[in-house]
Amino acid sequence: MKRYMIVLAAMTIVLAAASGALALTLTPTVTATGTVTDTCTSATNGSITFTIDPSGAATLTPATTDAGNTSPSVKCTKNQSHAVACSSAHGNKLTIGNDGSTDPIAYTIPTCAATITGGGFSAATSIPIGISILPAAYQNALIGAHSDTITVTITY
Amino acid sequence: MKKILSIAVIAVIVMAAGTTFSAPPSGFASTTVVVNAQMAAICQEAQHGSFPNPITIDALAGSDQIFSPAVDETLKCSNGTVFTVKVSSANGTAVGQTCTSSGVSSMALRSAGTPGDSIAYTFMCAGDTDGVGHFTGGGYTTAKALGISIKVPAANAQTAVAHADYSDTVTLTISY
Repeated sequence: MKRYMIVLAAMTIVLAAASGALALTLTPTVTATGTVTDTCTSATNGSITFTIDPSGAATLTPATTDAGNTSPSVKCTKNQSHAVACSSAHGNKLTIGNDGSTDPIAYTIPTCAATITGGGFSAATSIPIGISILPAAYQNALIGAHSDTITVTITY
Repeated sequence: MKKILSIAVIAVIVMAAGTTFSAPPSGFASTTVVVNAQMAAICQEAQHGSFPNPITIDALAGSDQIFSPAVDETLKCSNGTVFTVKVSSANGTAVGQTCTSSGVSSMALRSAGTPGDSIAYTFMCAGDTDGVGHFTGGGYTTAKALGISIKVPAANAQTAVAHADYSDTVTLTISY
């Protein structure tokens, strides 16, 4: 059946071309389909800088949102939800020289959002990070600079 | 017209191929937060030192007399903080002298009723870490004792005028 119809159509075109009496208009259409991928890129790194007074008796809760500090940010596909995870380079310990072993001050990361919603690539999404240090962890710590690096991973 | 049609067909095929292999992307992006904490060097008095009241100086003693405090002076300092103790005597001439285990001279006990009568003595801090007046803090839960004491040389006791109202006020200044 299909072959038969194709043959007839071909014959019609041939005949029309030969006679020049019929006009033939073809209007092809093109369907364009685009897919916006779900992705993320890091925008800025963050920092938490603070001073520990060992005479204090309170739990310290410095955060990237404190004055002078910087929250990390990412750019992700708009309106897409992305999982966030925070991990310490040295087992949640601040150490002298950031070597992971010298005079460790233990801390936790209570502020690390479980998910973020992308805001598109024209605007970075800030991810506030906060840590917590108990008095017992810092009261007898050695004087000097203690550091660690927290990696914030966004899964998409 | 045929050329246009051919291009359109090719374009459609490409789009179809793209759809076939467009699996949802998956991956990770990461950023970092550097945490910098500065442990401050801090000292606070943990226990106020004092000497027995009165102390009895034996004028007949043949040797130097050393008196221990009733309560030693102690400090809570950040672990590793090196500090010095400066001593000043209200009745002597010592002002801001570094206190060591060998002691600060130019201290004086003075009679309240007879200010012209005084007894020179030495104020000592046996708790210094290195013998030259440097103390090291042991952390805020560990008080550091200065090991204070006073020494009245035998010669000074033997020549002292008998009074029951000798006294001095010692000011300790902690520098770190």
